[in-house]
Amino acid sequence: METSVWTKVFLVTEDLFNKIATSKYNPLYYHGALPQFIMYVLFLSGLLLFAYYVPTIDNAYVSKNLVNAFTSVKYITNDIPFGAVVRAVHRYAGDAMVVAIVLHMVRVWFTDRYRQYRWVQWESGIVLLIMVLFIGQTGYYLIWDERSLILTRMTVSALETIPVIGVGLGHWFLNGRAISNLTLSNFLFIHIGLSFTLLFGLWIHYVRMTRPVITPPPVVNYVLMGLLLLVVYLFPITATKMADLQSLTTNSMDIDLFFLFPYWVLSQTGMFGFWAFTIIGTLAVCLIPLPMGAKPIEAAEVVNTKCTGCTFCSRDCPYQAIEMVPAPAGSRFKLIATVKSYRCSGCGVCVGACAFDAIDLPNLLDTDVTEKIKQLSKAQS
Amino acid sequence: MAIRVVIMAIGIAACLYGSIMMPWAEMNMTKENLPHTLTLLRLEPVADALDSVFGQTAEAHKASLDAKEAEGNRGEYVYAFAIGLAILGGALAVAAIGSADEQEKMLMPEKK
Repeated sequence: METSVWTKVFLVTEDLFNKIATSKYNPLYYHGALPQFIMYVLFLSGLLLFAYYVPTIDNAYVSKNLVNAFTSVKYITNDIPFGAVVRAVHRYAGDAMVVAIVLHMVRVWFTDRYRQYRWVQWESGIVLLIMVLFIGQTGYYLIWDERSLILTRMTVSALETIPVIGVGLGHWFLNGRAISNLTLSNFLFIHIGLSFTLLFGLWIHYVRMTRPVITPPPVVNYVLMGLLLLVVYLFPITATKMADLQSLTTNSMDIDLFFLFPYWVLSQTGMFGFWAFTIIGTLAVCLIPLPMGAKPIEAAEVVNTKCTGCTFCSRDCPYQAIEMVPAPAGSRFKLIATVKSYRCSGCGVCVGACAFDAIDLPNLLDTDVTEKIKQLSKAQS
Repeated sequence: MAIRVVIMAIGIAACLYGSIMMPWAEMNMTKENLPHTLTLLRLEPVADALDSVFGQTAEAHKASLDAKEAEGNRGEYVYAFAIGLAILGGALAVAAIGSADEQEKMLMPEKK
Protein backbone atom coordinates (compact mmCIF):
# COMPACT_ATOMS: atom_id res chain seq x y z
CA MET A 1 0.00 0.00 0.00
CA GLU A 2 1.32 3.48 -0.93
CA THR A 3 1.90 5.93 1.92
CA SER A 4 0.79 9.48 1.14
CA VAL A 5 3.20 12.40 1.37
CA TRP A 6 1.27 13.90 4.28
CA THR A 7 1.29 10.63 6.19
CA LYS A 8 5.06 10.55 5.73
CA VAL A 9 5.31 14.15 7.03
CA PHE A 10 3.39 13.16 10.15
CA LEU A 11 5.46 10.04 10.64
CA VAL A 12 8.70 12.06 10.41
CA THR A 13 7.32 14.64 12.88
CA GLU A 14 6.28 11.85 15.24
CA ASP A 15 9.74 10.35 15.00
CA LEU A 16 11.30 13.72 15.86
CA PHE A 17 9.12 14.07 18.98
CA ASN A 18 9.94 10.48 19.94
CA LYS A 19 13.64 11.29 19.79
CA ILE A 20 13.24 14.32 22.07
CA ALA A 21 10.45 13.31 24.45
CA THR A 22 10.20 9.51 23.93
CA SER A 23 7.05 7.82 22.69
CA LYS A 24 5.56 7.82 26.19
CA TYR A 25 5.25 11.62 26.22
CA ASN A 26 4.84 12.34 22.51
CA PRO A 27 1.95 14.88 22.35
CA LEU A 28 1.09 13.71 18.83
CA TYR A 29 -0.07 10.40 20.31
CA TYR A 30 -2.58 12.27 22.46
CA HIS A 31 -3.98 14.70 19.90
CA GLY A 32 -7.51 13.48 20.64
CA ALA A 33 -7.07 13.51 24.40
CA LEU A 34 -5.63 17.05 24.63
CA PRO A 35 -8.95 18.83 23.87
CA GLN A 36 -10.55 16.74 26.60
CA PHE A 37 -7.96 17.83 29.17
CA ILE A 38 -8.42 21.46 28.07
CA MET A 39 -12.17 20.97 28.52
CA TYR A 40 -11.57 20.09 32.18
CA VAL A 41 -9.48 23.28 32.58
CA LEU A 42 -12.33 25.28 31.01
CA PHE A 43 -14.95 23.66 33.25
CA LEU A 44 -12.96 24.37 36.40
CA SER A 45 -12.00 27.96 35.53
CA GLY A 46 -15.55 28.59 34.26
CA LEU A 47 -16.99 27.37 37.54
CA LEU A 48 -14.84 29.89 39.44
CA LEU A 49 -15.96 32.72 37.13
CA PHE A 50 -19.60 31.64 37.31
CA ALA A 51 -19.55 32.03 41.10
CA TYR A 52 -19.22 35.83 40.74
CA TYR A 53 -20.83 36.51 37.36
CA VAL A 54 -24.13 38.44 37.24
CA PRO A 55 -25.97 38.00 33.91
CA THR A 56 -27.78 41.34 33.61
CA ILE A 57 -27.26 44.44 31.49
CA ASP A 58 -28.95 46.84 33.91
CA ASN A 59 -26.48 49.61 34.66
CA ALA A 60 -28.74 52.07 36.44
CA TYR A 61 -26.80 51.78 39.70
CA VAL A 62 -23.32 51.42 38.34
CA SER A 63 -22.23 54.56 40.22
CA LYS A 64 -23.05 52.73 43.44
CA ASN A 65 -21.02 49.74 42.34
CA LEU A 66 -24.20 47.79 41.86
CA VAL A 67 -23.56 45.08 39.46
CA ASN A 68 -24.35 44.06 35.96
CA ALA A 69 -22.51 41.64 33.71
CA PHE A 70 -19.74 44.11 32.87
CA THR A 71 -19.13 45.31 36.42
CA SER A 72 -19.20 41.75 37.76
CA VAL A 73 -16.50 40.83 35.23
CA LYS A 74 -14.54 43.92 36.39
CA TYR A 75 -14.99 42.78 39.99
CA ILE A 76 -13.69 39.30 39.13
CA THR A 77 -10.69 40.78 37.33
CA ASN A 78 -9.69 43.44 39.85
CA ASP A 79 -10.94 42.31 43.26
CA ILE A 80 -11.07 38.52 43.39
CA PRO A 81 -7.65 37.00 44.20
CA PHE A 82 -6.21 35.67 40.96
CA GLY A 83 -9.46 36.58 39.21
CA ALA A 84 -7.61 38.14 36.27
CA VAL A 85 -5.45 35.03 35.86
CA VAL A 86 -8.43 32.66 36.06
CA ARG A 87 -10.28 34.78 33.50
CA ALA A 88 -7.28 34.80 31.18
CA VAL A 89 -6.77 31.04 31.63
CA HIS A 90 -10.45 30.50 30.71
CA ARG A 91 -10.06 32.61 27.60
CA TYR A 92 -6.79 31.15 26.34
CA ALA A 93 -7.79 27.59 27.21
CA GLY A 94 -10.72 28.14 24.84
CA ASP A 95 -8.30 29.19 22.11
CA ALA A 96 -6.08 26.21 22.91
CA MET A 97 -9.08 23.91 22.60
CA VAL A 98 -9.83 25.16 19.08
CA VAL A 99 -6.18 24.73 18.10
CA ALA A 100 -6.06 21.21 19.59
CA ILE A 101 -9.30 20.16 17.86
CA VAL A 102 -8.15 21.49 14.49
CA LEU A 103 -4.78 19.71 14.87
CA HIS A 104 -6.66 16.54 15.80
CA MET A 105 -8.82 16.88 12.68
CA VAL A 106 -5.87 17.56 10.39
CA ARG A 107 -3.92 14.59 11.70
CA VAL A 108 -6.91 12.26 11.50
CA TRP A 109 -7.50 13.42 7.94
CA PHE A 110 -3.93 13.07 6.72
CA THR A 111 -3.42 9.72 8.42
CA ASP A 112 -6.61 8.37 6.82
CA ARG A 113 -8.46 7.66 10.04
CA TYR A 114 -11.80 9.15 9.06
CA ARG A 115 -13.01 6.68 6.46
CA GLN A 116 -15.75 4.07 6.50
CA TYR A 117 -16.28 2.73 10.05
CA ARG A 118 -14.87 6.00 11.45
CA TRP A 119 -17.43 8.28 9.75
CA VAL A 120 -19.35 8.54 13.05
CA GLN A 121 -16.23 9.95 14.75
CA TRP A 122 -15.63 12.41 11.90
CA GLU A 123 -19.17 13.78 11.73
CA SER A 124 -19.62 13.93 15.52
CA GLY A 125 -16.24 15.64 15.74
CA ILE A 126 -17.40 18.38 13.36
CA VAL A 127 -20.56 18.88 15.43
CA LEU A 128 -18.39 19.12 18.55
CA LEU A 129 -16.12 21.70 16.88
CA ILE A 130 -19.12 23.82 15.86
CA MET A 131 -20.45 23.59 19.41
CA VAL A 132 -17.09 24.65 20.83
CA LEU A 133 -16.95 27.64 18.45
CA PHE A 134 -20.46 28.74 19.43
CA ILE A 135 -19.72 28.29 23.15
CA GLY A 136 -16.60 30.45 22.73
CA GLN A 137 -18.56 33.14 20.90
CA THR A 138 -21.19 33.29 23.64
CA GLY A 139 -18.32 33.71 26.09
CA TYR A 140 -17.42 36.95 24.30
CA TYR A 141 -21.05 38.17 24.56
CA LEU A 142 -21.05 37.55 28.32
CA ILE A 143 -18.39 40.18 29.08
CA TRP A 144 -20.89 42.80 27.93
CA ASP A 145 -18.39 45.34 26.70
CA GLU A 146 -18.57 47.31 23.44
CA ARG A 147 -17.40 44.28 21.48
CA SER A 148 -20.14 42.12 23.01
CA LEU A 149 -22.77 44.61 21.84
CA ILE A 150 -21.37 44.73 18.29
CA LEU A 151 -21.21 40.91 18.14
CA THR A 152 -24.77 40.59 19.44
CA ARG A 153 -26.09 43.05 16.84
CA MET A 154 -24.14 41.32 14.04
CA THR A 155 -25.49 37.92 15.08
CA VAL A 156 -29.08 39.14 15.15
CA SER A 157 -28.63 40.76 11.71
CA ALA A 158 -27.23 37.50 10.31
CA LEU A 159 -30.00 35.38 11.82
CA GLU A 160 -32.72 37.70 10.54
CA THR A 161 -31.62 37.15 6.93
CA ILE A 162 -32.61 33.47 7.16
CA PRO A 163 -35.93 33.06 5.31
CA VAL A 164 -39.11 32.24 7.26
CA ILE A 165 -37.53 31.42 10.65
CA GLY A 166 -34.89 34.18 10.77
CA VAL A 167 -36.85 36.76 12.78
CA GLY A 168 -37.93 34.09 15.25
CA LEU A 169 -34.35 32.93 15.64
CA GLY A 170 -33.30 36.51 16.33
CA HIS A 171 -35.94 36.76 19.07
CA TRP A 172 -34.82 33.42 20.52
CA PHE A 173 -31.24 34.65 20.54
CA LEU A 174 -32.13 37.87 22.35
CA ASN A 175 -34.67 36.09 24.55
CA GLY A 176 -37.17 38.77 23.54
CA ARG A 177 -37.68 41.38 20.85
CA ALA A 178 -34.86 43.61 22.06
CA ILE A 179 -31.74 43.39 24.19
CA SER A 180 -32.73 43.12 27.85
CA ASN A 181 -31.60 41.49 31.09
CA LEU A 182 -33.10 38.26 29.78
CA THR A 183 -30.69 38.39 26.83
CA LEU A 184 -27.68 37.88 29.08
CA SER A 185 -29.49 35.05 30.90
CA ASN A 186 -29.97 33.38 27.52
CA PHE A 187 -26.30 33.85 26.62
CA LEU A 188 -25.24 32.35 29.94
CA PHE A 189 -27.66 29.45 29.49
CA ILE A 190 -26.29 28.73 26.00
CA HIS A 191 -22.69 29.08 27.19
CA ILE A 192 -23.04 26.68 30.13
CA GLY A 193 -25.79 24.41 28.78
CA LEU A 194 -23.97 23.78 25.53
CA SER A 195 -20.73 23.17 27.44
CA PHE A 196 -22.33 20.30 29.34
CA THR A 197 -23.91 19.03 26.13
CA LEU A 198 -20.33 18.54 24.91
CA LEU A 199 -20.16 15.54 27.26
CA PHE A 200 -23.06 13.88 25.43
CA GLY A 201 -21.42 14.70 22.11
CA LEU A 202 -18.19 13.13 23.34
CA TRP A 203 -20.07 9.94 24.25
CA ILE A 204 -21.23 9.67 20.63
CA HIS A 205 -17.70 10.50 19.51
CA TYR A 206 -16.31 7.53 21.50
CA VAL A 207 -19.18 5.09 21.14
CA ARG A 208 -17.59 2.90 18.46
CA MET A 209 -14.11 2.93 19.92
CA THR A 210 -13.14 0.17 22.31
CA ARG A 211 -10.30 1.95 24.05
CA PRO A 212 -10.23 5.65 23.18
CA VAL A 213 -7.23 7.53 24.61
CA ILE A 214 -8.97 10.28 26.57
CA THR A 215 -6.34 11.20 29.14
CA PRO A 216 -2.87 12.44 28.22
CA PRO A 217 -0.05 11.51 30.63
CA PRO A 218 0.45 14.04 33.48
CA VAL A 219 3.66 15.40 31.95
CA VAL A 220 1.86 16.42 28.75
CA ASN A 221 -0.86 18.07 30.85
CA TYR A 222 1.76 19.96 32.84
CA VAL A 223 3.44 21.20 29.67
CA LEU A 224 0.09 22.44 28.42
CA MET A 225 -0.73 24.17 31.73
CA GLY A 226 2.74 25.74 31.85
CA LEU A 227 2.37 27.09 28.32
CA LEU A 228 -1.12 28.38 29.12
CA LEU A 229 0.14 30.31 32.15
CA LEU A 230 2.99 31.80 30.13
CA VAL A 231 0.50 32.94 27.47
CA VAL A 232 -1.59 34.52 30.24
CA TYR A 233 1.46 36.54 31.29
CA LEU A 234 2.48 37.45 27.72
CA PHE A 235 -1.02 38.51 26.63
CA PRO A 236 -2.78 39.81 29.74
CA ILE A 237 -6.43 40.80 29.85
CA THR A 238 -6.86 44.49 29.00
CA ALA A 239 -9.56 46.88 30.07
CA THR A 240 -12.57 47.45 27.83
CA LYS A 241 -15.56 49.80 27.93
CA MET A 242 -19.04 48.80 29.01
CA ALA A 243 -21.62 48.31 26.27
CA ASP A 244 -23.84 51.33 25.70
CA LEU A 245 -27.23 50.43 24.28
CA GLN A 246 -27.83 54.03 23.21
CA SER A 247 -24.79 53.94 20.97
CA LEU A 248 -25.81 53.30 17.36
CA THR A 249 -22.39 53.60 15.80
CA THR A 250 -20.44 50.45 15.06
CA ASN A 251 -16.94 50.89 16.37
CA SER A 252 -13.98 48.79 15.35
CA MET A 253 -13.10 45.91 17.66
CA ASP A 254 -10.38 43.40 18.34
CA ILE A 255 -11.03 40.06 16.66
CA ASP A 256 -9.99 36.81 18.30
CA LEU A 257 -9.49 34.78 15.15
CA PHE A 258 -9.93 31.46 16.94
CA PHE A 259 -13.57 32.12 17.75
CA LEU A 260 -14.62 35.30 16.03
CA PHE A 261 -13.43 34.65 12.47
CA PRO A 262 -17.06 34.25 11.25
CA TYR A 263 -17.64 37.86 12.32
CA TRP A 264 -14.53 38.91 10.42
CA VAL A 265 -15.89 37.12 7.34
CA LEU A 266 -19.24 38.85 7.88
CA SER A 267 -17.61 42.28 8.11
CA GLN A 268 -15.45 41.66 5.03
CA THR A 269 -17.88 39.93 2.68
CA GLY A 270 -21.33 40.99 3.79
CA MET A 271 -24.30 38.77 4.56
CA PHE A 272 -24.22 36.69 1.35
CA GLY A 273 -20.52 35.93 1.63
CA PHE A 274 -20.92 35.03 5.29
CA TRP A 275 -23.70 32.50 4.71
CA ALA A 276 -21.96 31.10 1.62
CA PHE A 277 -18.76 30.65 3.65
CA THR A 278 -20.61 29.06 6.59
CA ILE A 279 -22.83 26.67 4.61
CA ILE A 280 -20.31 25.63 1.94
CA GLY A 281 -17.48 25.33 4.46
CA THR A 282 -19.52 23.16 6.85
CA LEU A 283 -20.88 20.93 4.09
CA ALA A 284 -17.45 20.48 2.55
CA VAL A 285 -15.93 19.34 5.83
CA CYS A 286 -18.90 17.07 6.58
CA LEU A 287 -18.79 15.40 3.16
CA ILE A 288 -15.06 14.68 3.12
CA PRO A 289 -15.43 11.03 4.21
CA LEU A 290 -17.99 10.19 1.52
CA PRO A 291 -16.02 10.30 -1.76
CA MET A 292 -12.86 9.20 0.03
CA GLY A 293 -14.52 6.31 1.84
CA ALA A 294 -15.00 3.97 -1.09
CA LYS A 295 -11.81 2.04 -0.51
CA PRO A 296 -12.90 -1.62 -0.18
CA ILE A 297 -11.95 -3.43 3.01
CA GLU A 298 -11.77 -7.19 3.27
CA ALA A 299 -13.45 -7.87 6.61
CA ALA A 300 -12.05 -10.52 8.94
CA GLU A 301 -13.69 -13.94 8.79
CA VAL A 302 -14.26 -16.40 11.63
CA VAL A 303 -13.48 -20.08 11.10
CA ASN A 304 -16.49 -21.47 12.94
CA THR A 305 -15.00 -24.94 13.42
CA LYS A 306 -11.99 -23.52 15.28
CA CYS A 307 -13.65 -20.76 17.38
CA THR A 308 -13.82 -21.64 21.08
CA GLY A 309 -15.79 -18.57 22.13
CA CYS A 310 -12.96 -17.30 24.35
CA THR A 311 -13.94 -13.60 23.59
CA PHE A 312 -10.29 -12.46 23.22
CA CYS A 313 -10.85 -11.14 19.69
CA SER A 314 -14.03 -9.33 20.71
CA ARG A 315 -12.29 -7.64 23.63
CA ASP A 316 -9.23 -6.68 21.57
CA CYS A 317 -11.09 -5.30 18.52
CA PRO A 318 -10.61 -1.49 18.57
CA TYR A 319 -13.79 -0.84 16.58
CA GLN A 320 -16.33 -3.08 18.34
CA ALA A 321 -16.69 -5.03 15.11
CA ILE A 322 -16.76 -8.50 16.71
CA GLU A 323 -19.78 -9.65 18.66
CA MET A 324 -20.01 -12.86 20.68
CA VAL A 325 -23.26 -14.72 19.99
CA PRO A 326 -24.58 -18.07 21.29
CA ALA A 327 -22.91 -20.99 19.52
CA PRO A 328 -25.11 -23.18 17.30
CA ALA A 329 -26.69 -26.32 18.74
CA GLY A 330 -24.29 -29.22 19.02
CA SER A 331 -21.21 -27.02 19.58
CA ARG A 332 -18.86 -27.84 22.45
CA PHE A 333 -18.70 -24.14 23.31
CA LYS A 334 -21.25 -21.63 24.55
CA LEU A 335 -20.28 -18.67 22.36
CA ILE A 336 -18.97 -18.01 18.89
CA ALA A 337 -17.47 -14.82 17.38
CA THR A 338 -19.21 -13.00 14.51
CA VAL A 339 -17.76 -10.10 12.53
CA LYS A 340 -19.80 -6.99 11.70
CA SER A 341 -18.23 -6.36 8.32
CA TYR A 342 -19.40 -2.73 8.13
CA ARG A 343 -17.36 -1.89 11.22
CA CYS A 344 -14.30 -4.01 10.38
CA SER A 345 -11.23 -2.08 9.26
CA GLY A 346 -9.21 -5.13 8.34
CA CYS A 347 -6.54 -4.12 10.86
CA GLY A 348 -5.80 -7.71 11.93
CA VAL A 349 -5.78 -7.11 15.69
CA CYS A 350 -8.26 -9.98 16.13
CA VAL A 351 -5.98 -12.31 14.19
CA GLY A 352 -3.20 -11.59 16.65
CA ALA A 353 -5.55 -11.97 19.60
CA CYS A 354 -6.81 -15.44 18.60
CA ALA A 355 -4.77 -18.30 20.01
CA PHE A 356 -6.61 -20.92 17.93
CA ASP A 357 -6.17 -19.64 14.34
CA ALA A 358 -9.92 -19.19 14.27
CA ILE A 359 -10.02 -15.77 12.61
CA ASP A 360 -8.32 -14.61 9.44
CA LEU A 361 -8.18 -11.76 6.99
CA PRO A 362 -9.22 -13.23 3.62
CA ASN A 363 -6.28 -11.80 1.68
CA LEU A 364 -3.76 -11.87 4.50
CA LEU A 365 -3.45 -15.27 6.10
CA ASP A 366 -2.22 -15.50 9.67
CA THR A 367 0.61 -17.87 8.79
CA ASP A 368 1.88 -15.49 6.06
CA VAL A 369 1.80 -12.48 8.42
CA THR A 370 3.65 -14.34 11.20
CA GLU A 371 6.29 -15.45 8.71
CA LYS A 372 6.72 -11.90 7.40
CA ILE A 373 7.08 -10.47 10.94
CA LYS A 374 9.72 -13.08 11.74
CA GLN A 375 11.63 -12.16 8.60
CA LEU A 376 11.47 -8.44 9.41
CA SER A 377 12.58 -8.89 13.01
CA LYS A 378 15.49 -11.07 11.84
CA ALA A 379 16.47 -8.45 9.27
CA GLN A 380 16.43 -5.70 11.93
CA SER A 381 18.47 -7.68 14.45
CA MET B 1 20.81 11.12 24.50
CA ALA B 2 22.91 14.31 24.69
CA ILE B 3 20.02 16.50 23.58
CA ARG B 4 17.82 14.99 26.29
CA VAL B 5 20.41 15.80 28.97
CA VAL B 6 20.55 19.41 27.72
CA ILE B 7 16.73 19.67 27.78
CA MET B 8 16.69 18.16 31.26
CA ALA B 9 19.27 20.66 32.54
CA ILE B 10 17.39 23.62 31.05
CA GLY B 11 14.11 22.26 32.44
CA ILE B 12 15.48 21.85 35.95
CA ALA B 13 17.00 25.35 35.87
CA ALA B 14 13.70 26.86 34.68
CA CYS B 15 11.78 24.94 37.34
CA LEU B 16 14.07 26.15 40.13
CA TYR B 17 14.06 29.74 38.85
CA GLY B 18 10.26 29.86 38.59
CA SER B 19 9.77 28.20 41.98
CA ILE B 20 12.08 30.60 43.82
CA MET B 21 10.66 33.60 41.99
CA MET B 22 7.05 32.91 43.06
CA PRO B 23 7.15 34.70 46.47
CA TRP B 24 8.70 37.83 44.94
CA ALA B 25 6.18 37.79 42.09
CA GLU B 26 2.95 38.14 43.96
CA MET B 27 3.51 38.74 47.66
CA ASN B 28 5.88 41.72 47.70
CA MET B 29 8.56 39.57 49.26
CA THR B 30 11.40 41.30 51.12
CA LYS B 31 14.62 40.05 52.62
CA GLU B 32 13.11 40.24 56.11
CA ASN B 33 10.46 37.69 55.17
CA LEU B 34 13.00 35.03 54.27
CA PRO B 35 13.37 32.17 56.79
CA HIS B 36 15.28 33.13 59.93
CA THR B 37 17.32 29.97 59.46
CA LEU B 38 19.34 31.83 56.83
CA THR B 39 20.51 34.32 59.49
CA LEU B 40 21.26 31.56 61.98
CA LEU B 41 23.36 29.85 59.35
CA ARG B 42 25.08 33.17 58.55
CA LEU B 43 23.81 33.07 55.00
CA GLU B 44 22.78 36.73 54.75
CA PRO B 45 24.70 37.16 51.48
CA VAL B 46 22.45 34.47 49.96
CA ALA B 47 19.38 36.30 51.22
CA ASP B 48 20.70 39.58 49.80
CA ALA B 49 21.40 37.98 46.43
CA LEU B 50 17.98 36.31 46.23
CA ASP B 51 16.22 39.52 47.19
CA SER B 52 18.23 41.58 44.74
CA VAL B 53 17.83 39.23 41.75
CA PHE B 54 14.22 38.16 42.16
CA GLY B 55 12.95 41.48 43.53
CA GLN B 56 14.30 43.35 40.53
CA THR B 57 13.08 40.68 38.11
CA ALA B 58 9.54 40.81 39.46
CA GLU B 59 9.54 44.61 39.24
CA ALA B 60 10.72 44.45 35.63
CA HIS B 61 7.89 42.03 34.82
CA LYS B 62 5.38 44.34 36.47
CA ALA B 63 6.68 47.28 34.43
CA SER B 64 6.27 45.23 31.26
CA LEU B 65 2.65 44.47 32.22
CA ASP B 66 2.06 48.18 32.84
CA ALA B 67 3.21 48.84 29.29
CA LYS B 68 0.71 46.27 28.03
CA GLU B 69 -2.07 47.96 30.04
CA ALA B 70 -2.92 44.72 31.80
CA GLU B 71 -6.16 44.75 33.78
CA GLY B 72 -6.08 43.42 37.36
CA ASN B 73 -3.30 42.86 39.85
CA ARG B 74 0.07 42.83 38.04
CA GLY B 75 1.63 40.57 40.65
CA GLU B 76 -0.86 37.82 39.84
CA TYR B 77 0.26 37.78 36.21
CA VAL B 78 3.90 37.62 37.28
CA TYR B 79 3.01 34.76 39.63
CA ALA B 80 1.31 33.02 36.68
CA PHE B 81 4.57 33.49 34.74
CA ALA B 82 6.65 32.05 37.58
CA ILE B 83 4.44 29.03 38.19
CA GLY B 84 4.03 28.46 34.43
CA LEU B 85 7.80 28.48 33.99
CA ALA B 86 8.26 26.09 36.92
CA ILE B 87 5.61 23.65 35.68
CA LEU B 88 6.85 23.76 32.10
CA GLY B 89 10.50 23.34 33.09
CA GLY B 90 9.74 20.47 35.45
CA ALA B 91 7.56 18.71 32.90
CA LEU B 92 10.16 19.04 30.14
CA ALA B 93 12.86 17.65 32.44
CA VAL B 94 10.67 14.66 33.31
CA ALA B 95 9.75 14.10 29.67
CA ALA B 96 13.41 14.19 28.66
CA ILE B 97 14.67 11.62 31.15
CA GLY B 98 11.66 10.06 32.79
CA SER B 99 10.84 7.30 30.34
CA ALA B 100 11.92 3.70 30.43
CA ASP B 101 10.33 2.58 27.17
CA GLU B 102 12.89 3.76 24.68
CA GLN B 103 12.96 0.36 23.01
CA GLU B 104 9.77 -1.51 22.39
CA LYS B 105 9.82 -5.17 23.18
CA MET B 106 8.05 -7.44 20.73
CA LEU B 107 7.01 -10.92 21.74
CA MET B 108 6.07 -13.35 19.03
CA PRO B 109 3.01 -15.31 20.16
CA GLU B 110 3.23 -19.06 19.89
CA LYS B 111 0.10 -20.37 18.21
CA LYS B 112 -1.41 -23.60 19.48
